[in-house]
Order: sequence, then structure tokens, then C-alpha cells
Amino acid sequence: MRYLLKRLGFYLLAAWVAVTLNFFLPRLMPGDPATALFARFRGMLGPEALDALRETFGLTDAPLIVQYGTYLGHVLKGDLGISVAYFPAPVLEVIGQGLVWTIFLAGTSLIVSFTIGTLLGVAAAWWRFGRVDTFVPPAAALIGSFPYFWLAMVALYVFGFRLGWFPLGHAYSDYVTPGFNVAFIADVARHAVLPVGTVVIATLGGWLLTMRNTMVSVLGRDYVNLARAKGLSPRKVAMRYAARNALLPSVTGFGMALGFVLGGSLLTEIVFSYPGQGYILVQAVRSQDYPLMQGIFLVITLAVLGANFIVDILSMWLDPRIRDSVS
Amino acid sequence: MPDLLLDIRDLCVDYVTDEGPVRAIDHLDLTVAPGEILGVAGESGSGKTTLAKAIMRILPPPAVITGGEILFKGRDILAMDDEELRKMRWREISMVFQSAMDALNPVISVGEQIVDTLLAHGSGPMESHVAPGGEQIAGALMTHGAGPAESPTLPVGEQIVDTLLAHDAASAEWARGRARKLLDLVGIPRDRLDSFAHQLSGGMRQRVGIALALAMRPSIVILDEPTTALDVIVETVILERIRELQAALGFAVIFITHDLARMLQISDRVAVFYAARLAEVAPAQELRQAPRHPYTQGLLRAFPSVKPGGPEPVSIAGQPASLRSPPSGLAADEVAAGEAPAGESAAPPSGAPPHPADGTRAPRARTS
Amino acid sequence: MSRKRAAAGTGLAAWVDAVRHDKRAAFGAGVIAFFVLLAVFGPLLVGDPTELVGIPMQPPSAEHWLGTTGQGQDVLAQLVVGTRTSLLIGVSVGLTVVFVGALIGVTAGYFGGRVDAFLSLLFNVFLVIPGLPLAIVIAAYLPSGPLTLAFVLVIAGWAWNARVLRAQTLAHRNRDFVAAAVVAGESNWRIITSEILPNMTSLLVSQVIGGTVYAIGAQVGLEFLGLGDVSAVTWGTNLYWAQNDSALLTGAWWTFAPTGIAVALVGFGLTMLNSGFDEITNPRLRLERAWRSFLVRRGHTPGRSTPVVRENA
Repeated sequence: MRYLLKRLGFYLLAAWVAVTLNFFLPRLMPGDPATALFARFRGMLGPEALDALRETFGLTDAPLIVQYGTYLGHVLKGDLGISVAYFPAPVLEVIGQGLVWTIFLAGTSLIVSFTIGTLLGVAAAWWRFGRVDTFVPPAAALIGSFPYFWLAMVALYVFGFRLGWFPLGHAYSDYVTPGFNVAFIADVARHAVLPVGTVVIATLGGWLLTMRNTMVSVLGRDYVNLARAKGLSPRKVAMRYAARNALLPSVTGFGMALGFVLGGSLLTEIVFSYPGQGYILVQAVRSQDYPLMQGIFLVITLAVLGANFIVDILSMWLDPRIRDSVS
Repeated sequence: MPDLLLDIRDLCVDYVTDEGPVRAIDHLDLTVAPGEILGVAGESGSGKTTLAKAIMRILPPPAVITGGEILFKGRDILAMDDEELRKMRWREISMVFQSAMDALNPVISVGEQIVDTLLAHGSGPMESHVAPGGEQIAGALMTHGAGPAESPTLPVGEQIVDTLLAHDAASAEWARGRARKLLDLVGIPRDRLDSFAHQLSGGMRQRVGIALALAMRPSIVILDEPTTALDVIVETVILERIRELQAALGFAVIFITHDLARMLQISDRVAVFYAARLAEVAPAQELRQAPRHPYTQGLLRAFPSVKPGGPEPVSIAGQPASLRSPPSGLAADEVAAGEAPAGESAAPPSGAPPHPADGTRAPRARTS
Repeated sequence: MSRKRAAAGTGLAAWVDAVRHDKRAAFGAGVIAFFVLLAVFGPLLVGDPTELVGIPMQPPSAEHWLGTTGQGQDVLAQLVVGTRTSLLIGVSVGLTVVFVGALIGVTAGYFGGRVDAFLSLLFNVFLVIPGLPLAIVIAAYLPSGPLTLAFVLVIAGWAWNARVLRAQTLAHRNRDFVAAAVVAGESNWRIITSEILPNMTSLLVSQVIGGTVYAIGAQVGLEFLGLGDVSAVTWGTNLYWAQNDSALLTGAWWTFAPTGIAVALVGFGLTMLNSGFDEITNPRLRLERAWRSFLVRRGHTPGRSTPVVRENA
């Protein structure tokens, strides 16, 4: 429990750093922050609306510390300002629409790629110098060297444009009714194949190589030797006595890789016009929609921190030493 | 059944390196009789642990066994396939590793690690090696030992059905019961069954290692420096416990250590390793009084005498011999032939280092 | 003194050794050498990449080997000229993240205590904040261009290096030769620069390589988003324009395929160089390989139990 509280404290600190960064960024840049932030709103907003927006970002004449307080207050209330690109929708509403799709896409691909990659890594290490070990890791490393979004472009070109097996974009077709019905779910799945497949292919190698290398070194440990000496079946030695231990660094790495994979997943969304954060982000970048960009940064950071916390709980469950570590 | 439990003939083990193989065990002959305690002494890196792991065929790469035979009850371990080895391991020969901290899996409770072992070999009745007077301890091991299928109060048919229906649960329960008894046997409170290695003291971890080694009531237990990491008091208690158990259960022990004094106390026979070869094999009594090999003489002189007024300890000068270019003229047979090479530059006892020219320590032949 | 030179020597010698003896390292070195030559001399051989030389979206032909872009520029010229900018940014960012990482990681590991607590917290926070969104918000406020790109890539990427180098410094800190230097009263700066850093040479080189792979990939990603200077010619902007000109929906694969392959080849080459080197410097991997070929040469298959090879000697 103390371990989890400590981690929670750390994530709160990280969240605070992200929020603070968000507050100071416009102020650190050359020129007047308000001008930079709201240049695009000219002509869209009346003077009163503009003042309300200034208030949200704490851009008043008050001392910096008071501005900071005002800003924190608004963030805590979930008020992240108004979007330019999706005027006049509030930033949080715009983000909310895309968040489900991003979490669905990134989450599904992460779980699939982690599972397959880790299992392949176990196989490669266990049958060291075998066929899997000879061909799969270099192939995975090669595929992993391509930018995610480039693989997405190729996948879209080959399987969508040329072969026509999968739709060319978006999360679901216009003709299905969103909701809990078979047609909708099947349609979403069909739209997800290419984006998920791309991210899985691109990230598989990372998990595979991490797991393989840790597993190879775990296989040299005395506790694995003892397990073999005890006459346990090879399967039990591999899975229960070696793979479980080798998994621990991968799980810890999972938290850190999360942000990275998410980045790639956002770029993949753009190629497939998938209506998640990545797609919204590119709209924000193109229309210099600073409130929206900052909002996305904040929300994605919070999501990653939350996911990291879940990973912490998981690794505590997997490793009894962590349970006892904080005292 | 042959008189010898284990008969190692002409065993050679090499470690493969970039520059070709390095010999770690060089034409070794050694026997173990049922119920005896054989001590194996030698400096670290002289090949002791290699021997232990070679007997079990669990030496990791880059080790290769390059010759000889290891006959266990007349069958050559070196000719067994993986499945035969799996069945032989632990049921016949078990081992206590040098460091229990490294040998116990950190994320599996000690109880589960014992249970896994028991379940891997099934719950059938086991051969008994009970020595006279050991019935009580043996009894503790054998109760529950037969598993549910042997219950005398249930009809055979029902037992079969029961076993079929609930085999896993029943045998797991049986194994847990037995794991508790094993902990009793080595003096660990039963409630430590669900503890993890890091929650136990060094002495307790090593006791768990011993409990594990006894789980299948093997005929040989190899102890690879089981007390090196422990303080003297804990060491004494544990070694005494091992002796008691050995006397009661009648298994043979191969006791590996660099502590010759300790070994002479508890062993029946002692084999002294030097530079990948056996320097000397003799009954403990004989070796203590009249060591023949110069290296053994040096080793014995390196320990303080237990008798008041005895000679001061003398350290053995120089470095452990290099395995890459082993000193010549040290094998047991030559010594036995009465040509102790005391004056040769390659000879180790209190003289010049074996390789004064290169001045480096021998390449480590250690596997861990 | 001599230890320092020896350590640095082993570091570099090991790399030379890796390239000479490991197939993967040799392959990696070959690929990288090709792209470096391309970056240095290539732009002299192709024409102006921004010049409109033909009809837009033409497939590869004798005149334009890799076809033309949506604007009618030569794809090959864009690829070659882009190599120079992209590699330059990649290598400089790779060097800088390791420099910053070493500065903070070594300081934390060497001084320990509160300094370590604070710096560790700092890089751990930067490790959990997702890099791409962070880079985007910062880049959006700065004038677009290569310097901005390099800056945000360093901000988003240094923490990983700091973490690894701190751990490595801690390991060295407890070694005898460092303890001896401390007792001998050598200054901290001297101990760090002449005792600790030289012993990490090979790790640092491998981190620079890893950092370059990261920088090239992330840079291409940011430019693809439109955060670079879209009028410059780099690998990332090539892909940005390909996407913008709907290359996919018009089937103009040649506008995006070559650039992606170039990015992947450089990344793969660097990765192979690193892993070949790892094999050379990691004694265990090396011995296992030697062990395996020893067995195979004698007609044995490596199995689970210690192999028995009886030689008829």
C-alpha cells in the first residue's frame, strides 16, 4: 500500500509539472503570450468572450502568482478554454469526443503487441539459435525501424486502396448507428484492423527484443538451473520459473514505452483519418489552435500517468519484492 | 545392484572460449558408495561446482562434457536423453546450491517451489533408503507421502474415480502437506510456507534449499558450498542438521567446500581438487594424518590447528593455477607413484606461484 | 593515466572489432557509410530539389528515376538533399541527448544524496510525460526550423539517457579504483572525467547511436505533423507533402515509399551496429555463440542438458 501511495504521489507531481509547463510555455516565448494564444480568435470572439478566455489562462494584469492560481483553478474545474479549430466548442468537449477512439486504438494495439511480442521473445530465448530466434528478431527490428505512420501509409495503400479489403479511413461507416449493436461493433472492428495492425507490427519488435534479452539472461540464473535440476517439465521451467521473472522488466518498461507508443499511435490516426486525439492534434497544429494543443497535451499526459499507475499495481502483484520494498 | 552408487570414470569437462576449449575437469575418477559422505575440497575455480553440475547435467553453456562416464547405479548419466535425465534428477540425485538467494526464485513462494518439485515427480510410493534408527524422521516424510490413492478406507474403484475427478486439487493439497513436513524437518516454522526468499534470513533460505533437496528422498544429495554465505554458528547448526538427516535417511552426500577443516569433521572420505584434477582421494582420517599430495599438505597447513600449541597457519603463496595452461606433474597418480614434484616450479605448496611470468589469475572456470 | 587511455582504447577498439567480426555490425556500418556519403556528396550530384521539373505525380521514369511529387519536383533530388538535413539533425540530437543525459545522470549518480533525489525525480517525471505531445506544444510556440526541432527533441529525449547513465555511474562509484581516487583526494571533476566517464565509453557510444535512431524517427514524425519548416527539404517534410498532396488516394506510392525506406535503412543499420557491438562486448553472448559453433561443427545440436561430445583423442 505504501508503495502505491508513493507512486500516486509521484504521478500527482508529474501532473503538476505538466500543468505548470502548460502555464509557463506561452509566457516564456518571445512576445505577448495573450497575442500568441489568441491571435487566431480575432474576428471570432467579441471583447467580453475574449476577456473570459484571458481569465481562463490567467492572462490578467495581476501578479504572476495570482495568474497561476487562477489558471490552476480553471484547470481543476476542467475549463481548458475554447478551441479555434472547432470554434466555438470548449477544448475539453473536443478532446472528449476523440479520447475514446485514441484509448481504444492505442490500448488494443498495446495489449495485442505486448502479448504477441512477449510470447515470441520467450520462444526466441527458449529455443535459442532456433528458427524463431534466427529470423524473427532481425525482421522485427527492420519493421520497427520504419516510422509508424509510414507503415500506416503503406498498409492503407496496399490493403485499402489497391486490394480494397479494408476501409480507407475513419472509425466507422456513416450508415451504421453507433451503439451496442452487432453491425456497429463489426464495422468498428473492420475499421480498426489496419490502424491496430500497423501499430502492432511497428511495436512488436521492441517487446520481442526486450523479452528475449531479459529471458536469455534469466535463463542463466541459478534459480532456473535449480528448476531444471529439480526435474520440472521444460514447459514449467520456461513459463513459471523463467518467463515470469523475465516479464518484470518488460512490465516496468511498459509504463515508459506507453508515451512513446502513444505518440506513434497518434501519427497513425492521422493517416487513417481516425477521429482520435492525433487527428484533432493535427487540426490544432494546422490552425495554430494553442488552447486545443495544450489541452490535448494535458489530457494525454494524465491518461499516460493513469496507465502507469495501473502498471504499478500490476507489477506489485507480479513481484512480491516490490510489495515489501517500501518501509 | 552394484556396490557403488556413483562411479565417475575419466570425466572431462571443457569450457568453450573464443580461443578454443579450456579444460575445467581433466580425466577425473571418483566414486560414491551408498550412504557415505564424500568431501570435495579445492580452491574456488578449481572445478568443484563444475563437477556437481556435470553430475546433474545442468552445466550451462559454454560447458561441454568431452569424455568419460558417470555411472549412477550402473547407468551412464552421460548417455541419458532429456526425459531420462528429468526423471533421474531430484528423484535420485538432488543438490543444494551455493547461494540459496540466487537459487530460490524471488517471485515464487518457497512453499510453491517445494510443491512444484513434488508434483513434477508424481505422488507414487518411493524407494526407501532408511538407515537403522532413522524410522522416525523417515516416517515423518512418508506419512501423507502416498497420496490419496492409497487410502485403505475407500474402495479401490472409488479412489480411482476420486483421483480422476479431483486429481489436481487432491495432489496439490497432498503436496502442500508434505512441503510443511519438509519444513519441519529442517526446522523452519510451517507458517513460512507462503514466504518469499527475500523475507527469510540467509540461514533459513539455505534450510529451504535443504528441504527442497530432500523432497524426493534421493539417494545422493550434492551440497555445493551450502554454508559459505552464513556465519559460523548458523553454519554449525545447519551442518549438524544435515548429518542427522543423513544418518536417519541414509542418503549419500557429496559435500563441496573450500573449508578443509570443516570437511574433515564430517566427511568419511575426502577428494582434493587442484587445477581441474584430483590431487588426492583418501579417507578423512588418513588425509588428516598423512596428506600425500603437496597441495593438500599446503591446504592443511593453511588452517589453524585445533590443538593448543600447534603450528601457525601458513598461507599458500601464489595464485590458483591457470586452467588454460595447467601445471604439469600434479595428478594424483604421479603423486601416488612417489614422485612428489616438490621442487618443480609448477608445484604450488608454499613455493613459487605456478605461473610467475604471467602474474594473472587463472581464467575463471566458475559457472555461476 | 594509462588506465584512462586503455579504457578509451578498449571502447573504440571494441567497435572496430565488432565491425570486423560481426556480420550484423558490418552490415550496419556499410549502410551508415553509404548514407553518410550520400549526405555529403549527394546534393552535388542532383539538381535543386525545390525546382519544378516536370508534370506532377509522374511515376518513375528514365528522366526522373523516382518520379515526381505532387508539385512536380524530382523525388530523387528531394530524397538525397533531405538525407543531409535529416542525418545532421539526427546526429546532433543524438549527441546532445547523451551529453545532457550524462551531465545529469552522472551528477546524480556520483554525488548521491539530495542532489540524486532531486535529479532522479526530474528525469523520472520527464520519462512519464509523453514525448510527442510535449514536443508538439513546445514546438508550436517556437519559430519553425531545424533548431526548434532539435531543441524539442532534446527536451523530450534526454531523460532516458540520464536514467541509464545514473545507474551505470552508481555501479562505477562503488568500484575500488574510484574509492581509491576519492581517498587519494582527487577532485570530483577529475574523478568523473578521468575515472568514471572513460569506463563508460562503449555505453556512451551505444547511447549516441540509440539517440540518433530516436532523433531521426521523432524528427520525421514531427515534420510529418507539419511542425517543421515545411518549405525546407527533409525526409519528414517530403512525407508531409506526400500526405498533403493525397499521394495515397492517387496511388502515387513513389512519393512516400523511398523516403520511408531510407529512414528505416538508417535506423536499422544503426540498430544492427549496436547489437553487433553488444554481442562483441557481452562475454556471455560471445561465449554462447562459440559454444554453439563448437557443437555444430561436431555434429551436435545444442539441447537443454549439458552436451556430451566424446572426442576420439
